[in-house]
Amino acid sequence: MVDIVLVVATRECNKCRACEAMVRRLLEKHPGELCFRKVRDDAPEADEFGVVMPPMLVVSGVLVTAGRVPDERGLAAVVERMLEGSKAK
Amino acid sequence: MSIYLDNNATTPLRPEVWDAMAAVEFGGAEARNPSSTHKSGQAAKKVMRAARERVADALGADPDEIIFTGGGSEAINLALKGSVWASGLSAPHIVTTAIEHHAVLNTVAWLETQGCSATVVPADLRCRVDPQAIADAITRDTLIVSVMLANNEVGTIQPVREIGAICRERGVLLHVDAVQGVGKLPVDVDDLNCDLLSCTAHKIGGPKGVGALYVRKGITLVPVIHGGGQESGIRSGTQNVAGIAGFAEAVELAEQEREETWARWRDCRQVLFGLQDEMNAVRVNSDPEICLPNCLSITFLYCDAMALTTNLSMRGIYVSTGSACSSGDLEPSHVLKAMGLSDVACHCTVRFSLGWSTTRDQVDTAVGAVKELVEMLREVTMPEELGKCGADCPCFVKA
Repeated sequence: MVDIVLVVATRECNKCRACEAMVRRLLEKHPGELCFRKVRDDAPEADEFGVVMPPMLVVSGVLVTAGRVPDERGLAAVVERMLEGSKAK
Repeated sequence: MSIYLDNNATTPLRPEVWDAMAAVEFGGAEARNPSSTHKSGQAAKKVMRAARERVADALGADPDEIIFTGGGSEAINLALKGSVWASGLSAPHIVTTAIEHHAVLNTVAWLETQGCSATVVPADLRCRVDPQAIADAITRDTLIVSVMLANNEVGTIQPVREIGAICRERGVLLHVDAVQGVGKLPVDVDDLNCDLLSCTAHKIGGPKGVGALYVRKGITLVPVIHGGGQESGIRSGTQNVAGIAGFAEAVELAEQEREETWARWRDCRQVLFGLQDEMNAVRVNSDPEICLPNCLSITFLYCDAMALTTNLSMRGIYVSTGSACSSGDLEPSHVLKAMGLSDVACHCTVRFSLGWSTTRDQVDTAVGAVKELVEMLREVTMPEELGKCGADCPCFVKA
């Protein structure tokens, strides 16, 4: 199981929405293997990530982007690599 | 324990400085308000006099030429607005550079709304301003030139002595923003040929909210803050006596330890420089020949600097991006852009700045984390294959 956390702005912008859509496509591709949480940047939970610029995408505790939409193929590759790592454990 | 490598933003307070401030605030002399006529006022006056002498010594100035302020930005505002207002001219001309701190650029921009005109001189790829470009920008209406001593993002030391000689010859005032220079570089106001020089305490282990403006004898300034006439009538407001004592202590310690500090910084910087050789598509923007040894700006192409710095922060390693975050958007750094870096390269740039407390072990740990994170983040943010870009690639520098 790989955790994905998306930290979005209180008033979601197009970048936040694009990030979420990207994650939803990953969830469809890996059913039951990803645990997705969406967190608003003013939520206490967001503090642990040191929010600087939403949207922020955190995959298994590693922040992969802040303030921008990631490259979809790259994000998929990172997630797949982390899934392989979690299966190996 | 965290690793703090953002010392050009601010530095942790030195314990010796804390002790010096505590001695003022809680010591037996009960130093309070230096404007008071009773014994505690006299004690505060004595503390102020000693601090003024120590700061003046560090700048090669006379104690009477030091005006304490509430920080570097205030000193800069006083220097620029004060000299413009004192000139009596209706439309004076100001010369400054594209790589100045916003405290200068925004003050100049505001003065332009009040009738001043300004010329902003560009910098080269090494973030260095050409003195001849300053000379060419000076007109018969020019009142003042404002140039920084060392750049805050890249660390480049500017040829201020040469610029000062030009200003002296042309009869133009020179203000030096030495916020990043004092305590790190030997500073002598006569050697620099400057008329005004701004500095601050918190970049060298002193407290925040304390700065100073050197004002050469004979230069008239109109105050920005009016009131009780403290600081020779140029900067009203009860002085921050303990903070000023801390400033003096920090300056003196920095001066005494410079040789040892520079050796340590150079050693650490070499480790950071190694990233350029050990990784693909990495370029160091700071030229060691002309930069402060405590500052290194590095572009990790294809790696989002904001993501990198936030990940480092989550591991307790604090560095800053070369990009300022303002108005909810990521604006590329005006300094890096002035050096010719593309917007993409600006967004991939990280500043490592070392301070009095930085150790080699800390830098080694940070470098290891940077390598690991950059490799991982590039998989997400890089649009092309690694290894295609070198130092001459247009990705780094605008054609």
